[in-house]
Amino acid sequence: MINIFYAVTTFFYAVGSWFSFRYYKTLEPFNEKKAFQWLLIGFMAQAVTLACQWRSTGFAPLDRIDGILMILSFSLAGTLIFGRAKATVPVLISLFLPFIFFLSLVGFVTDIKSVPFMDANLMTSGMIAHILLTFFGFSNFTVGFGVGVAFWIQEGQLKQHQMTSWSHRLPALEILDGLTVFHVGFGFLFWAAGLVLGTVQAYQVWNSLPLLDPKIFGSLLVLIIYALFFVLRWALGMRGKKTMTLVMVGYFLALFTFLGVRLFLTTQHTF
Amino acid sequence: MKFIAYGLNHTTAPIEVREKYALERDKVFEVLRGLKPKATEGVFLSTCNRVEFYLASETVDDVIEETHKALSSIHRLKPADIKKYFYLYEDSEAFFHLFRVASSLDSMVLGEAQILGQVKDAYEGSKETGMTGVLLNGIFSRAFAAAKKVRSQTDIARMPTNVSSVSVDLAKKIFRSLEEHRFLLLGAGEMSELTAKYLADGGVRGFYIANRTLDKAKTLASRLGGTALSLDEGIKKIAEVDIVLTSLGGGFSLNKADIEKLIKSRGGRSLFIIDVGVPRNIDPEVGKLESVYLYNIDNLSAIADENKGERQKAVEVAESILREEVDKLCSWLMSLELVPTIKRLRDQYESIRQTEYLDFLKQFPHLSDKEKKAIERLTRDITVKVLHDPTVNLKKVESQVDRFEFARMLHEIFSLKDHHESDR
Repeated sequence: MINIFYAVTTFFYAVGSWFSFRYYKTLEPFNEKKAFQWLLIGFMAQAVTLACQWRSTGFAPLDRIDGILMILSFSLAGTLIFGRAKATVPVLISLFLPFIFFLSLVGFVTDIKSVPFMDANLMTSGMIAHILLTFFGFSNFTVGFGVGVAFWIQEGQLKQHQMTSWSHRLPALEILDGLTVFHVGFGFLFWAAGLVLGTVQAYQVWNSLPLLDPKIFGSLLVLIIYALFFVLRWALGMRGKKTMTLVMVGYFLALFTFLGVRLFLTTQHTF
Repeated sequence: MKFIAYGLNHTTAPIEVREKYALERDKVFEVLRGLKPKATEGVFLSTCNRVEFYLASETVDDVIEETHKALSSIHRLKPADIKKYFYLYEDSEAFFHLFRVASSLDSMVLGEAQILGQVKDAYEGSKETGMTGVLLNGIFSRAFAAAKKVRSQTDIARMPTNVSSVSVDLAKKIFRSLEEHRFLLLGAGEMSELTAKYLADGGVRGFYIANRTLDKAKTLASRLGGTALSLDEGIKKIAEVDIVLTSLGGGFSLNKADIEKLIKSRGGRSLFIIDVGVPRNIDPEVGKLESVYLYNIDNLSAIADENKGERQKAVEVAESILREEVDKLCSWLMSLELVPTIKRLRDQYESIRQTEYLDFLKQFPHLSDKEKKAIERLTRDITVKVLHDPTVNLKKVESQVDRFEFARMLHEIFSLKDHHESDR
């Protein structure tokens, strides 16, 4: 039953992605609007799917890779919908929606052979909140990074006195700047809250807080970099490429902490 | 019945000829009404760059002759003297020409927005005077849809091609909304005024005009609805405003250190400087400052030229869109021919008959083959007889316009699919 739900969700994202590609080809606002509508429908369907799965297993599907991919696509979709309330950047939905579809598709396909990597007993509400907050933080950083790249491109073209087709696909610098601050700001809050809850979990599970664990150390560093971003903007009035560089650096570190640490370093975290 | 586009434009006729036919609205309809006996439907488009007739007629040569007579009588010119400036397109080529005109592919300034409105006005005027019918209504509504498609799907109208509108476009790439931002003019020359007008159209509301001669600044300020300032006050205003346009002569210049000092209190807000002064008023090094976007006249001209090139590149894509639309129009027109319409009507009845007959057989499975054949023959005969009189009467309709109208009505009443739909 859950598999059917996953298939339907993935199908909705696929339709949205098709409209995204159509938007790239035609630049017609109609296609972007349709892509957003399908993203919204997919998000709601995915919320129902995850709720059903949660109800049937007793906890959010965060103990296996397919669940992780689904939650990641869900949090990214939610972040995009949330961000659109602040500003409409058509190119952003069109850029991320195919990626969300891809995550959802891989999550759906890997479901059969996926093996839990976390003990079900550890899935307390505190642990679930810690993981979900971190995911939403990471998703906000991801979208913030995407907007930052768009700012970088648009700013570069304006400084070099060029008006390419990209200039016409991207919104004004002021909009991109505002949206970056919005996503980085919420990402910071979610990430910090996730870290605080993670600290509580660490004391409960390990009886200590291993600050030098690469995941924890990296997460703290991410917070420091983004905090620096806000200090430079608000206290020193710095804008433009210099502050956007911090967004990029912060994101790559967050990406490494989120995905790279498990692959290249040793950590006490199971994911 | 033929559809023709007959006229002259900026590529075939000099201004001396074109200006003679830039007619007033009343005169346009007088000319059109004069063509009525020869042309069943007609639209007359008269702008400063083109004079064109779009006509539906069964006698093309006669209607062209009438057109020349009508035009010649306006300025007492001999038809032979003006004929050389005219071009003639028929049927699909005429559709394509109309679509190109409406999409601004045939305009002097490629992609300009005005022509679509002018074609719409010409069509609406003809419609009001009863000069359009099923044929031209269908053709023009498709021309407008095609033009809209070209404008939204290609770069034909996306990129500005003059220096002032490039400045406005750049401002819109920097700021969220021009309404919230203020604009400073340093110098009260012609270029400043023109760009200021474009910015005002783009939404900029707060204007400051600073000039060496305060009176000149006041004159321009009263025209634009801004505030006049002395030059020194104007320079200090750079710290507050978001867009600055400089066009001062007499060796006026601001260097990087001057601007850096002025923008210190801006809190990193973007500053867009348009320097159209020759020699330049702003040191090019200023462009390297964070959040400062400096453009001189050459930068703006280069973008305008590049955009013209981009528009030219978009023509090919636009024409392929228009060719597709012309094909659809031709399919629609074919579907309005009576013979295929009657055939489709018969097919539709036959399909209903067959469905009902098969349903009937399911309800009475015990019927013998002989009985089945008899029932089938009976239903077929009823269908043929029901359609006989309408078919004969439709074939009697002589006027092409009436045939189109009948065909269109049949399509609507019986929900017949046209060629294009049935092909899909």
